[in-house]
Amino acid sequence: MGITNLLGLARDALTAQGFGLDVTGQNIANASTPGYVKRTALLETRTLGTVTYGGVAVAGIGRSVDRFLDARAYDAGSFSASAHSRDNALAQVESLFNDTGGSGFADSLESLFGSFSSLATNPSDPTARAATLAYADSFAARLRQTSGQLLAQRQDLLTQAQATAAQVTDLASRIAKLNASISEAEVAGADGSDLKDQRDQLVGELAGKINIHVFTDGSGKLVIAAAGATLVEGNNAAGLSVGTSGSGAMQILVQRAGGSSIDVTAQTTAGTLGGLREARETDLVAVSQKLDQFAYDVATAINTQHAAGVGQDGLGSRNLFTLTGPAGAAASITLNAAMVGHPEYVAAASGAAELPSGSTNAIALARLADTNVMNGNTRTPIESYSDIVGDIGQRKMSSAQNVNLREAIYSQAQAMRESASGVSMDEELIALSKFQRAYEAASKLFRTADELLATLIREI
Amino acid sequence: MRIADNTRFRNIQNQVVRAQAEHNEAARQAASGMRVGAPSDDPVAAAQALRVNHSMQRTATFRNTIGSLRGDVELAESTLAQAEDVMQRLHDIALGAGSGTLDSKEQAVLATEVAALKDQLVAFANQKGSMGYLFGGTKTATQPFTTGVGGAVSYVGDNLDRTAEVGQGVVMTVSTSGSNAFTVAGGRDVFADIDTLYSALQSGNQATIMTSVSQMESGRSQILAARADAGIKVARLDTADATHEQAAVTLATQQHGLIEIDPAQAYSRLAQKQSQLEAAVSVSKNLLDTLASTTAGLR
Repeated sequence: MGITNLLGLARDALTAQGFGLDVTGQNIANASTPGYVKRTALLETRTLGTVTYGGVAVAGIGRSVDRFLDARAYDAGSFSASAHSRDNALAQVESLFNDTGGSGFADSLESLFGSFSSLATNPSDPTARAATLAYADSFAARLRQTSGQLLAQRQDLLTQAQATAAQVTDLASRIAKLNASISEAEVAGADGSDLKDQRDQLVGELAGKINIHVFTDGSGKLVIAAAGATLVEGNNAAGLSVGTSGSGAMQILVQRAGGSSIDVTAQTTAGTLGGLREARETDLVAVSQKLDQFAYDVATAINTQHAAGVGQDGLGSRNLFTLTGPAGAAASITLNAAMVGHPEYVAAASGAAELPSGSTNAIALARLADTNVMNGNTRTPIESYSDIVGDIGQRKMSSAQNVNLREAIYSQAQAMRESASGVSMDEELIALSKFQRAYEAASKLFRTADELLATLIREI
Repeated sequence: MRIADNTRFRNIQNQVVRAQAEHNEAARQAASGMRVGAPSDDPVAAAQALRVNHSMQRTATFRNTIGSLRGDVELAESTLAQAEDVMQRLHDIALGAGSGTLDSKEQAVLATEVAALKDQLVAFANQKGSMGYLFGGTKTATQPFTTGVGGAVSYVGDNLDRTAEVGQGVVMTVSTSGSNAFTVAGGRDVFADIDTLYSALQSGNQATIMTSVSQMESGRSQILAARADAGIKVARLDTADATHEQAAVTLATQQHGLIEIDPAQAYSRLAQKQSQLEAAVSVSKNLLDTLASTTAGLR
């Protein structure tokens, strides 16, 4: 132990505290950088063989991550994103069936049945007959329009899914590249913290697109499985593509480098893609089917009754609507071409005997409005329609509740993660003071050692 | 738990955003007066509102039907009342002539009056309403009673009823049968009987005139029966309309309760959400100030 040793201690202390200040500075600078993980200056006592030397050495930079909390945040992010994308899709569906908001087709259904009643009141009135045809035409047009909008939305959701898949492919290849860069940096002796921050940030973004599972291989590289299939493994990345199967359903494939692909459609349960798939293949399919069934049942009941009556020419067996179905009924329904321009063919009378002012059949048509002719003769037309609206409202309501729930869980998971990895300015400001005071003390130590040495030299 | 700065900022942001969303929804309800603006606001109420709206529409339809039919049924009744008066006069003529105190000249004058009364009756029987001939059954476009070359009146209408739905499942006959009122289908062929009276007056056939007295009386009661029938229909339509009028009020109240919001409730909720939003903003401001002062204090 000597004065020179004291100088050595002071030198080490100045270096170490300066490093601490530097790391604190980095934390303060990056307090709001997305993906930035709080750094810690790792200091340790310097050893010199077996001798107690007592110096301080810089051991490196600590990066405060907790893989478990990260994984929870990824999962929560996936579910939050899927809830959002499904909710957005359902909001559009709901807007097509919002009768209180002015859309929907309860009005055109009521108008059609109302026109049958007006016809029954005055069957020989050409105006009443023409009105019946006009309302039937607009009812059919309304169904076609709604069906067309649902179809367009289905296509739109597919396009969105394809764009998302392209983003997944891009993210996967960037993560693979960062895997390579990090391992190069570590081989070169650097710590690669900045690169890891970037990589974890990208993994977080990826989790928002599709459900993933992340783990680390033996060499410290990330391996990512997306919807159960390996997407990133070390320096290699696979791609993701979205297409349609023969039936038009969305198909999600992981494309391997060699050209082979794995179907992960059923496993895509979360992330934007999971939400888009659920909205498209579950919600929209159900709504379209219900709409088709509605169109088919109501048109078939009206057709049957209409064909039972006769027009002013005494002839019957004419349908009011032309359609195929039940599948595709809403898209195909039109006013029967033979009826177009022929209001006199509207079958208000039940037989030629009661012409021109018999209204038995028109009354029967009007009464279909309150008859169980829908859904296997269990519901009236408006009940059947209100069931569809109720179903859509229920879907949208529960999806909105799900968004709130998932959002809250995600927010909590993020808070937990940040609790381990985030920067707290309070902490950093205290650390700043701590290192500053320690640096000042180290300077004082140096001055003291220097003065001792000077005294000694003077004495000599 | 250690609270990172990012967590704090995000929490502040979330709180303000949530308060804003709730305030926005309260403002929408207050401005539109609608509690249910979209099916997802209350799926059960939205679906039920559609069914209630359907009942309202149907009720309005029934009232329209009643409104447009009532006039014709009433006209049928008053026309038959006038026809009844004509029959009364014919009955009086037959009775007067049958007493045997009139000479042939006076009887000829009466015969002329009978002929005129018959024309009047034919005109009544061919009365038109807003939807065509009233007494032709479903043949509303064709004049139901036609006078032939020899003066004989024949009926070319049918004996079918015109019906209308005036309430859910309530289908009633709204036409008044001309064949029942004036032809043999109702008992006696009124016009043929008048012709018989006319000929008897001209020829002075006292026995036939005596028979005509009771025939005119049967004809009158035949028309009276048809008139009473029309009167009952008017009453039925009025009753149905009154029922629908009441139902419309009840349904409107029900609809209001399902999807609309009481203005007082809407405004008080808006005020509440407004103060919540202000509180969230002021708390956020406070937190941000605290963060800033920590930084300042350690400077």
